Amino acid sequence: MHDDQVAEAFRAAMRLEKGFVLRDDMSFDHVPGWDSIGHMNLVLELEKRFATVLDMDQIVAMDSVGAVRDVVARKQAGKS
Amino acid sequence: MRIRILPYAAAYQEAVRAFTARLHAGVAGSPASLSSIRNLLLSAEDCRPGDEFLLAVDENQVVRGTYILRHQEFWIGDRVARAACYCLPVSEGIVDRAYTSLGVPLLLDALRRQPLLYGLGMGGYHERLPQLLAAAGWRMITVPFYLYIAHPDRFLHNIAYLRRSPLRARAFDLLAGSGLGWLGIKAFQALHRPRARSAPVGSETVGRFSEGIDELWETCKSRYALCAVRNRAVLDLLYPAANERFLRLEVRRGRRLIGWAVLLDTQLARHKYFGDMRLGSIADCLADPADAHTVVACARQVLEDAGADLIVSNQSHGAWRRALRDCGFLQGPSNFLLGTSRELTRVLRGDGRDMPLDQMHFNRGDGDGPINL
Repeated sequence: MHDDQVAEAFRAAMRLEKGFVLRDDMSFDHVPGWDSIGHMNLVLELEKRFATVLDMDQIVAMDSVGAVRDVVARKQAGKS
Repeated sequence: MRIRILPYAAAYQEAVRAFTARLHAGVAGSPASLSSIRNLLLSAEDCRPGDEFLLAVDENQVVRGTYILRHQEFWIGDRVARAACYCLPVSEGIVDRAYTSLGVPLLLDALRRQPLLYGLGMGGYHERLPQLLAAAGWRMITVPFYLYIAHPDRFLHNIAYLRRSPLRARAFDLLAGSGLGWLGIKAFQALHRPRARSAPVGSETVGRFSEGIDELWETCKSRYALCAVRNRAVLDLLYPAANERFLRLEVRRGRRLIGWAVLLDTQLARHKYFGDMRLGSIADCLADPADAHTVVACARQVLEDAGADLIVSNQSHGAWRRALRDCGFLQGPSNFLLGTSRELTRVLRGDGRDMPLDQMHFNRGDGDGPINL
């Protein structure tokens, strides 16, 4: 569930093409549009979709698709 | 990677130097990043009293980013409130993709320190910073740019911004050589000659602004919906008497001070827009809006007398824009942007709509400072 939402957040933030496949080991160099502006869009998308606020360490830690999933999973686990 | 953002301290002097050296080395030969070079000159010495110079430092005490928070007080409607300009943010992300995300925490840190945040200048919508601010939901507006052509021939031969192809350069040379350019520009200016005033107006450049500045501020602030505080103490801070680069102009009607302006008179060399022209600039100014025309006319005259080929100004307020037009200035393409944070935009909102630009008094004096022009 979270994974799909994370992928959707990426797609919306980076305006990825439909066929683009995200893998956990992908970082800034591998995802089109993942620059500082894409990162800002991603933060806002995640905060909206998961009704949460990311702190500075979490924002900096999100340096790969897998790392984003980890941050979101930990945030969600902390909520429940 | 863990990043802390903390105020500059002397202990980080070497780390800041190493950071700027890495950026210089990283952007060398990269035209796309050349506009960032200006930011690379950032150091603690660029700060004015009251500024916060902030560093993004990693767990190894290596500096990975910097920005300046320039605090200013603003007259907003009926009160004075503190806001800050988000100045010259730069991160290692411009040379190392591993730090791509750093622009976001820098901005969020600034917003945490001062939610009433704005950015000014920024080089146009194609630059990264305004795109980042827009992505963060900031309101972005272009502050109009005006130019007065004092010496048409020098303008036509030097305006690099318009002479971008050999064909266009040749056309401008023809306009200059034939006299047609001179004729057209002077004809336009003749139609926009400053109006004669009934009461005698005088102006003088001063080494330091006089005490009457405070009274002027108190009487005219309520004529603006939004205006940076410009009393004598602030002017002394922004335009210190020791800095001879600033021409401080006071304008009087009879003995009464009715306005002031801060002017710059700079001989350029191979400037990317203005070539080798001598450039006059109206960087900052204040008067009752009804007297804006008089102040602009005096400023223009002082700069023309000093030998300026071209006089430029960025102004947002309607009265100052009208004053510039009425004094023969043309409106040109502007890359001077104003961005207001969500919170500042909300504070400025009235009657359910955003405050119109022509009610805000912004110019180059309110941002990074009149560094370039």
